[in-house]
Amino acid sequence: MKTMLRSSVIAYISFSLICDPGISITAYAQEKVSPRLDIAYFQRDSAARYLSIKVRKKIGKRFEPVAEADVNVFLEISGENVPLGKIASNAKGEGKILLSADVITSMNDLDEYSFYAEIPETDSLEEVTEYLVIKPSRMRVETNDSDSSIRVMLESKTDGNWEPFEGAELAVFIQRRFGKILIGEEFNITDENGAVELTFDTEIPGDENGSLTLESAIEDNDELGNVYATTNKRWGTPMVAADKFDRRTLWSTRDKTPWWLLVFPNAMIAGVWGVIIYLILLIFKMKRISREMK
Amino acid sequence: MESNSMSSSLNALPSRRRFLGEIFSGKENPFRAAADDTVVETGEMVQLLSVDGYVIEIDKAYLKPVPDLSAPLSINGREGIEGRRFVMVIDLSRCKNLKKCQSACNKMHFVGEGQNWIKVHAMKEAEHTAPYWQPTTCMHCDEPPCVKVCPVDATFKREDGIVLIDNERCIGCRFCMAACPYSTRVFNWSKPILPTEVENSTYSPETSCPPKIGTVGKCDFCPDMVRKGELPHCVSACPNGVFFFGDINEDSVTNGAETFRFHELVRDRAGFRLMEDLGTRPSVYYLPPVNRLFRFEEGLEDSEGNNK
Amino acid sequence: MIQEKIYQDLLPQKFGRAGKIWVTVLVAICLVGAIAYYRQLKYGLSVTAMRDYVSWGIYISNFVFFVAISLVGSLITAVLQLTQVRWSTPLTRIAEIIAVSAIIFAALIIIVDMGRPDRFINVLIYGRIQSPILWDVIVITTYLVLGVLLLYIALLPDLAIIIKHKDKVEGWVFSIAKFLGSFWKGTPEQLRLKEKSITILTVTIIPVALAIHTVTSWLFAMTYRPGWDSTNFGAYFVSGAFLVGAAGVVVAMYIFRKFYSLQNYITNSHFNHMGKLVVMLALVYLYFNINEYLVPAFKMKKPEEQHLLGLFSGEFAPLFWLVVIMGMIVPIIIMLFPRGRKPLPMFIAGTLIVVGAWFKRFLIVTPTLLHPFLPMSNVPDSYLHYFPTWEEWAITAGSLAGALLIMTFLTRIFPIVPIEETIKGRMEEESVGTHQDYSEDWKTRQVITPKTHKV
Repeated sequence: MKTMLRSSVIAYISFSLICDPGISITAYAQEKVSPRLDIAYFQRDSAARYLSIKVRKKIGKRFEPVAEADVNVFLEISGENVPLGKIASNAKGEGKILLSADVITSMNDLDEYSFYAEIPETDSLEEVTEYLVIKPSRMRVETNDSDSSIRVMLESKTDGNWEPFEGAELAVFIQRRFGKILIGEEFNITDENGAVELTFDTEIPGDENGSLTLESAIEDNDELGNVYATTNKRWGTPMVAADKFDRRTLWSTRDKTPWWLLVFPNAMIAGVWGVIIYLILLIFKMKRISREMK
Repeated sequence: MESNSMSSSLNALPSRRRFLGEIFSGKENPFRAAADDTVVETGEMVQLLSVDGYVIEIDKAYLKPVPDLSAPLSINGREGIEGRRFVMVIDLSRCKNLKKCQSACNKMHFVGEGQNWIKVHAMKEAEHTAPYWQPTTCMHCDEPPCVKVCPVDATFKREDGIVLIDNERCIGCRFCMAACPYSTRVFNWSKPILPTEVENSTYSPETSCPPKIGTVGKCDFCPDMVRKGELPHCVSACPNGVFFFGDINEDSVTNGAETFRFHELVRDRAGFRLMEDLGTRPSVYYLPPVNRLFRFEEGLEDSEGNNK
Repeated sequence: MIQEKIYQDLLPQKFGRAGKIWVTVLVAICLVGAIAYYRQLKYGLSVTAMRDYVSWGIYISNFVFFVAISLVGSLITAVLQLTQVRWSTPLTRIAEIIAVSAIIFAALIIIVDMGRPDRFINVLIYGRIQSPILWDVIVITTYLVLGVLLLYIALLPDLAIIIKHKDKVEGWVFSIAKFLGSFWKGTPEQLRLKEKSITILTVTIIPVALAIHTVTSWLFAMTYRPGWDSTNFGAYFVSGAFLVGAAGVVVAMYIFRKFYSLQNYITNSHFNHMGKLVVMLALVYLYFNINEYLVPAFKMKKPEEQHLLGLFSGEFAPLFWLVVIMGMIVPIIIMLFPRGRKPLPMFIAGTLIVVGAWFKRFLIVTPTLLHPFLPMSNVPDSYLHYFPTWEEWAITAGSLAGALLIMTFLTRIFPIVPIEETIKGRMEEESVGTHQDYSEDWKTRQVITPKTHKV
């Protein structure tokens, strides 16, 4: 029995190796690819921070995404590589590492953020490491109600002190549900005070109270990464809902039937069925007459 | 940051940030660390209100500030996203009949064989007028003929403008298909072939998944994506930025890369709607095919391979 | 006695050989239809040839056909009786039976067409009164109840006659009659109530009958599509319904007369009268058809143009012209002449009209769906045409066979020609001595009836 089992197992394995050579052959013939690893730093209002990871490989002249690549990310804190997390890239070769609350707290003590990402060697990928050094920054949006002016203040940490950062390109937007509308120029450069000044002069709907979210955005800055700062102001016109579709119409739900459709058809139906019930009663009356005859 | 604001923030509007991690209704425990997360516990405990209404304590290290948060899907799909009125603007001057919108939509909604929620028509109104490619989605009309005729209220107009179908109520009479002048609805004539996890997933009219045999389907403006603050799949999939999607209450539409004031775009580019004189008041506007990026004939090459 | 002869002729009889073959064939067709329907339930509507563009096919045209035919009850029984037309009395039972059978199958075939018949209950619990389908469900149910009541109440005296002649009918026919009508004693009070009921019914059933086919026409007319978007549809459908119903009665008249030897009761003069009625209805229907097609054809608006050319000279032209010529023109010509109003030519004309009407309903439903406003793009080629599959034919044939089976069954257990009314009518003639209904026809009458002896 046992020998039968063993020999059948051997037979099965050899069978599958012979008849499914794809596995064995490709395992030996697979070439390892050296992927390209990109990390970018994102900071929103100094509280939510994350790293966006992109893994791609070069095929011919184009880059193709690499899916399911494991990427480990670390941050250097006091000489130690603190692990931030690990992701497996999705079908588009992308991933996101969110920095947790206490990591953010520890980052406040740092003079620079040294991120380090690595892809360990696998059957299909060669080992890759990538570094990213970011200068700590903080940005805030100040507004003046009297003249509808906006002032963006940008500071970065140099030698442990917060100082104005000059020469960063930023743009100011009104946040919308799915996109953002630009205010003023597309490229504003922060001056020696780390400031950019604009005027808000558009009429645009906000929420029901007219609140808008203004966002100042620095994108792909070599030193600072991607930094966003927002503020809410009631500078928009109060949003008026275009139509809540809760009137009585032919296309509303059954509880919002038009009056005339409730009254007339139901009256007619009630009338006819009243007649039907009367006729049925007449039949019963005829039956009763017959019974009484007996 | 503020764990004591948890209870109020759980009832908050979807766009507010919360510090609970990602929450999808009915899905896995959001506080369980992902399998390979190397999180060092700090020992500092934080009290939170769970989605079931219990107060739980977890280590602070597990909290991750999330920049965007998805709102749970509405269970029956009939409540619209408050305060919104969605519109779409399709720029006919950019369409090259690539049908990337169609493939993305079909893939993400498990649209069946022979069906397409988005159809790209080759249009030519008259002998001397120019031919052009016209992608056609559901118009999400403000006076929808399909909704008027549904006997069981399986298709309905929401306050956010989206017309949805409840495939758990649809009886398959196909009156809505006869009523729609844009011929945008499709029908599941046979049992849809689906991957197991899709077949077993919970149905919501907002995802229109899993599709069911004997019921009607159509473009739904991807309410599940919209609740997450993301654009519908066709909008993101189009490489030429043909589709603009947005909110008329907010007066802005975007194709992912460019954002415009809706009324300015439609006014300055002479937008129009299809079959306006039928009185259906569609929510999809078209920008005329002027100053085109591509000649019509360039789209014919793609249609050879792509036309089913 | 004369009365005894009437009883013998009109009481329900057993099937002869022809009858048994007839029933067997019908049952076989129903069985094939049932098998096809089982396949449809199992695999879904993909077993039909309907696809996303032609989303309504012969199930719906069959439904419209059934609703159309069922109007005959109101025409023959209600309209003609209310207007004191006496010659139609023998035909009222047939008309009512056709009406009830047809409307039952109209409801059934609609359930067959549903993608999710298991959710039928949703129509009742979630129904939206704004939807024309809801209106259709309500009026059809109402009409069915009224039709059954009309059939039943008018039947009561005849049930009593069957009960009295227990020896002349089979046991089971007797049992049914006893169960349904044993309380009918023919007392003056009962008679008064019966007459009152019939009057109320005939008055009520006319607007309801007009409603069912008008509402059914609105299933199409309330949409935007070319060929359907017509203000004419209600009247057009109702006139067509009266026509096909009357023609159906003519066909039934001929068959019953032949197989049950009812020559003394369904006489040539009845065919003559029906012929005049049918030709008038056919001319009215032809008039509506001309309006329906000529008016948009004069304008040739873009969407209509595709549709109309498809009908006049395109894909559907052979069928369209066949229906118009063989289904309308030829019968009209036949029936315009007295010789054409004899039984056999009437039967042929009637059959042509009924068959033509079935295909006409197909021409109303499907071609419009193949001419939508926007081009039919991005679909497999098979979506651009429609020819029903064997399952659809089988189910359709099964439904027609089923309706015929119900008619056959009802005429098996109930007298085809109302006995009481016939006796009453003969007695009236003998006592009053009026021949006005028959005077013009005495030259053409070939059948010997008791009355000719007096002439």
